[in-house]
Amino acid sequence: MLNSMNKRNFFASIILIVLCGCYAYFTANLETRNIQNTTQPSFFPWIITGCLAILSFSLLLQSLLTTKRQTLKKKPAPRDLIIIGFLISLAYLLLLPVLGFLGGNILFFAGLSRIYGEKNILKICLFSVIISIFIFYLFRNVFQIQLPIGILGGVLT
Amino acid sequence: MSPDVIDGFAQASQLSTVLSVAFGCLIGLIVGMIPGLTISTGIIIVLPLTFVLEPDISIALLLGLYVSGMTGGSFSAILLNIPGTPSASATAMDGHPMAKKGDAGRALGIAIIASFFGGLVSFLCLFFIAPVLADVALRFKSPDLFSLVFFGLTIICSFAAKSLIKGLLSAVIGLVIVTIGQDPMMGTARFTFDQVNLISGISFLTALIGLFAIPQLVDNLSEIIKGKTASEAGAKIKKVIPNLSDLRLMKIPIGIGSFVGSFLGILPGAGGPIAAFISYDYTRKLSKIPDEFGKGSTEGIAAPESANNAVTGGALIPMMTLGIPGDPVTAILIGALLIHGLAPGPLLFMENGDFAYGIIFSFFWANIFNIIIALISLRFLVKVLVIPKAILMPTIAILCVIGSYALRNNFFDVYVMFGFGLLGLAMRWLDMPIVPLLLAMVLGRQLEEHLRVSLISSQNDITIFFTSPFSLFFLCLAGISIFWSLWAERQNTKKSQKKLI
Repeated sequence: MLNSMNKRNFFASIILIVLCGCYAYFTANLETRNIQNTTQPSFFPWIITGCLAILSFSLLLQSLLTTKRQTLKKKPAPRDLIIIGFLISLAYLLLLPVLGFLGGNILFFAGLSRIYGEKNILKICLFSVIISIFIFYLFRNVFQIQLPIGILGGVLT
Repeated sequence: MSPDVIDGFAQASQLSTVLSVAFGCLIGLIVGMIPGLTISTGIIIVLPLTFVLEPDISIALLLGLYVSGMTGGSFSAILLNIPGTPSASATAMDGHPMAKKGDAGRALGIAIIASFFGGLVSFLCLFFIAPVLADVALRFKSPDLFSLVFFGLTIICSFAAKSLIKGLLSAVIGLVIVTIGQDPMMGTARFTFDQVNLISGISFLTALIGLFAIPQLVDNLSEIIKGKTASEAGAKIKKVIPNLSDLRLMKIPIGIGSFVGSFLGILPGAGGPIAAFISYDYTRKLSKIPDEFGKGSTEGIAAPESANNAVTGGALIPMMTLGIPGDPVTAILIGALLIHGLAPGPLLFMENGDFAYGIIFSFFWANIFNIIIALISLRFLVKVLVIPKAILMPTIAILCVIGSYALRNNFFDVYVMFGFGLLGLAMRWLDMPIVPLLLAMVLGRQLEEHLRVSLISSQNDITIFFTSPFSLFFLCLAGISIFWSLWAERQNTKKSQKKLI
């Protein structure tokens, strides 16, 4: 029976072996140049493929053969908060080109602030608006980085 | 004196550069003292700002942050017994007991002064060793450079990982990422899948932001500090300047810490925490009052604090002379230099000597401003510790997103950053170190270029790597480094098996 870290190592090694296979496939299909006495673009990727294969199989063997129980010292973050955080980030990424950095950041800030433990809605609204606007104007006007405004473009310009 | 030295000093002493150092120091002290924020994260936060600044001003800002971040880490270690940075862990062992006795100000003062002297010694090492090493490195040819980069990678993997396999795997994943984009020799596209955004490869800084910041944001969900506030601890800060007897006691620990820190800083991967603990241990062994250690010893604070600040100058030596980063922060500094079209390495001293010395003197100013700002603003700075994570963490998240976007004004980089964040989380879940991946991304391209140039020049004869004395030397060191870590891993396994029995 595999213990928890060995289980993780086992799954990781399987994923890495698959990755190695894909990498080898794409390396084999790399363009070649007909120049004498030179190394082809696939030369270094083949070396990496070899190293990746050896190390992935070593990790697989280690996970199957090691009997040592490896304890997981770190207390994991609450799973539900991670999932909510992930969903907020995903929504933010999808909506960012539409909402722009100002609108997107206000909503993203508010969402994250809530999962980091802030319960006061007024504080969440206040800080998310003030900090997002401050950062936006700092980068846009002081550092001259053209951050897209998105749908708020009409309001701000 | 070389004109480059004078020009470098003039460059580093310009008002804009000096102000930039001072601002970096202020940010560094704040970032360093907040538990859950590392110096790397601090640098990532201010990195977008450097895109619009001149290279010398950018590097000055980052150096200020680097130096003061080390000192700032000791503030929360002393006041709250929570090290702000991993390097401050050893400081907490005596700093916090001293603070509990009501001498928080004295403990902080000792830490600040020891940090200053540690930084100053490492500045001298940097000033005198770096140009000499760069001169030697100029004689390196492609096979030597390949072996040197290879050695750099192996030593980092062995230092950074509990398991050598995982350390090497992390580095190999980094090399896989580096091969995305144009082939460095022929310019053909590799693994780009017809994506225009991938032709110039994956940006190192985008990857860095994702790998460091996102796992840290997730970590902070479970590490909410309860019951300890700096306002309580801050209220106890009275006299900051240590008394004469303290200063007398600090001499030997500062000497040990500065020497150990500067030396270990030069070794890629060793880093601040190791230097701090080694110097703490040596100082305790040599101390006339070893029983005081752990109860609030002056020497116990001075040794690790001088050591972790001495590491900073040491780590800049291989970065500037060989282009090999000593730790994640210097890896980021390399990334920042590359953005401005400057490649660290022996040629930096030859082609941009004034700039190279400018970096060295900015490091000097960083140490000066570190002590001044820390001593003057200590009482106000500790109030930062009460900023709620509900405000701090979302702010960092937004800065990371804007930082990755600002690099090329491209949403694609934001998605890549999040992708690397997920990779960082997966690696953490597997207990796989992130640092080797990062360094492989910095060194990977050089590794490939030098390997291929060597083979082309020798007409595919691999003995070229063994016939050059420099190359052979580095390959031997790489071999020793791998066998050493294998041996250490085996010893650890034996020990834990014995414990189980």
